[in-house]
Amino acid sequence: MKSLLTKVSSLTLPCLTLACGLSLIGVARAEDLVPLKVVLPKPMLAGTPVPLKLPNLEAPHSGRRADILVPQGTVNLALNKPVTSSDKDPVLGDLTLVTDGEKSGDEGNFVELGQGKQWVQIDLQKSGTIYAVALWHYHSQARVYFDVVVQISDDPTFSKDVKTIYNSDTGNELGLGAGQDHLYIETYEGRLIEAKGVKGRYVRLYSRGNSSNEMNHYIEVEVYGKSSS
Amino acid sequence: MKSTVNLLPDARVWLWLSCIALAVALFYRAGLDQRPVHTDEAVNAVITAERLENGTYQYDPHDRHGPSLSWLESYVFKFHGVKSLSQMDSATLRLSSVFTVAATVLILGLLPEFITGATMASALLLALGAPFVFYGRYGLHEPILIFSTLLLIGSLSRFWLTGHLRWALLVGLSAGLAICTKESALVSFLCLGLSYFILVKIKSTRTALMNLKSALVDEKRVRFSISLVILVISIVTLLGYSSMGQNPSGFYDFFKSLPLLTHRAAGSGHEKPWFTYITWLIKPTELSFPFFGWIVLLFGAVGAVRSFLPNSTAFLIQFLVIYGLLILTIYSLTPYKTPWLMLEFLLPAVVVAGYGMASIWNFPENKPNPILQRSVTLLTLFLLIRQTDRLCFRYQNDSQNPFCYSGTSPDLERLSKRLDYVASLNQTTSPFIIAVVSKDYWPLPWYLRQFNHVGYFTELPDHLNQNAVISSLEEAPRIAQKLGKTWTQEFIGQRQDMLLVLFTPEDAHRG
Repeated sequence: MKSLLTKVSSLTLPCLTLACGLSLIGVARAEDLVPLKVVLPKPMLAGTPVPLKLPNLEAPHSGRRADILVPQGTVNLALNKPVTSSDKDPVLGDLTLVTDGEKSGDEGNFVELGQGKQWVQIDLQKSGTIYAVALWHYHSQARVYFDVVVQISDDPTFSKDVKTIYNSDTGNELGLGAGQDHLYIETYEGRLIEAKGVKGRYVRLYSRGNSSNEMNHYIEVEVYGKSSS
Repeated sequence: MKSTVNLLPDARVWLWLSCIALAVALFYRAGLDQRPVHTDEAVNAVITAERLENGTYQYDPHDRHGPSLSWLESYVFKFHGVKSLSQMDSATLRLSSVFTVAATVLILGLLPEFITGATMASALLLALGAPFVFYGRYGLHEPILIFSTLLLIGSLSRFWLTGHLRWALLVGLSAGLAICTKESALVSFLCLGLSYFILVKIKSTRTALMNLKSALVDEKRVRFSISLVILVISIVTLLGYSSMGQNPSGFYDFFKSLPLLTHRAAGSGHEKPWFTYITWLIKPTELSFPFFGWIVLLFGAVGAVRSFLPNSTAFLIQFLVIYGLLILTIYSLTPYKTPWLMLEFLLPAVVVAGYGMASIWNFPENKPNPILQRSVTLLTLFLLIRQTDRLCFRYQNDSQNPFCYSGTSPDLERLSKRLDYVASLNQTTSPFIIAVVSKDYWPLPWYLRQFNHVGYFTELPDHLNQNAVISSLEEAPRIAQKLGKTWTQEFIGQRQDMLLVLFTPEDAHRG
């Protein structure tokens, strides 16, 4: 019995030391992480969102959206960066609107791509560590965009080292693999997608029409991260 | 007797009008089934289906217009061998409007031509103008209303110029047809009367008007003609609204609709500011510059100014200027606004604009100037076609399109296909039951017309053995709870700004 007590007391000090050490590291890490501040545009839809609680579809939440924590110094790497697209000749607007920093849902602030499967691709011009992607398709009407997929890669053709951070294409209509993420109704808050420090230079966003018409729209895409020095 | 018949278009003009009308009948039919069926078209289709199946028309003053559209549509469907809603297709549903606009182009020839080429110019503006092309390919009442209004104005002009009683008879028939199309025809009649009153108040115009009158039109004939017109209007309205006597209360209900019309004019969810029609017509959008609006405004201004110049005898153009402005003013001041109502003031506008365009063709010596004629015509045609191509064909479903008002989402086609698939998995012999739980479910009856067991509810019944449920967003959470976890949900677009939720059994979803 005495030897057991001796053993326990001899383990107490190292355990306490280890626990204190780990908690100090945790505190240090938590201090580095800050809530991501995304500037939101003016809401365009009158009335409050319908409080949907459905197993397979995502409801517009009520109240403030949950924060994503990102390291201090995280910035929008996509601002004014070049954009390319599967639709070389957009129906409305031009591709620079995707990264021009204007998120208002007013007429003239979005680019409209043709029918069916389309993508836009942002070249961050340098590989970076990406923590979040914020995306506004169109928010002056209650709409759902189908088969939204967001991928990050260092390869501009997206043929290798592709990391998918969001995929609501549950039926694999785009041929990029079936996703598990939810469809959602567009609002002025856009879609904030956590990227968890994925590294890459190019961000590609797919969609395949919406619930209002067959077209694809982008008001703004923000890519939050840190550039590799 | 003065010779006034030289103002009437000659055979060459009729030939041109026939060619343009034929082109309308062919070209408007291109891709007629490409646009989703609008809520109002779906309502009209269901009414026509009732007429096809029961042979009668039950007028309801609360949510129906006159019987003429369903009457015309039922003949088109019968010609195509269609006997019920489930056999209908959207292209055939819209054919009656196509033929009506083609006929409207043709009857432009009833109007006197005050300057060479004016009728043809008006026909081109009407045939190619984006609002006419857009709504001429839509199963709505407005194409018939503008046809009957033009027929009324044309036959009135003919009666004035020739004095023949057959034109008075046609005045009665066309006015009766207008009333049997839409109750708002009464607003048009009021404006026509006011326009005449204003016109004869202008001394020079009154003199010109009397100079053009046929010697046959004396006081006795006018009195007789007015009696004839009233009699014919009464008979046509009585027969139309009572469904040829099968539903006598329909005629009485027509009078009940008038206070409801006033109530509806107050807005009913379609309230817009007074300048909305002008904005829809002349404000550039990203989809297209509004060439039609500006061309009609420009040529219309030329035509209006010229018609009121001293020594002008173009009394009909003056009349149409006043009539068009009155209709525009009344409709602009009415809170209820939808873009297809614009056709009612655009009809006189294109006739005045055609006169203005022909004035430019004949500038400066009042005789055809080939260089001006060709260059103005080619440029006008090019600009009109450009706008029409973009708004009426290429981007006809786009929410930026001012004519695509409260448009149905093409996503509803997916709903039909999805339900077809789920129904194909139904192994039992029991019927495939669809429950729709929504207060605002149109145009679903059109998109679900292939299914025989569809119920429309305000809440999901407890003991319904349904195979699929379609609900509004508001009702979806309650239905999800009721159905349990073995049912999955999909968002389906209903209209431009409305979503539905489709519930299907999990097995079908996996498929």
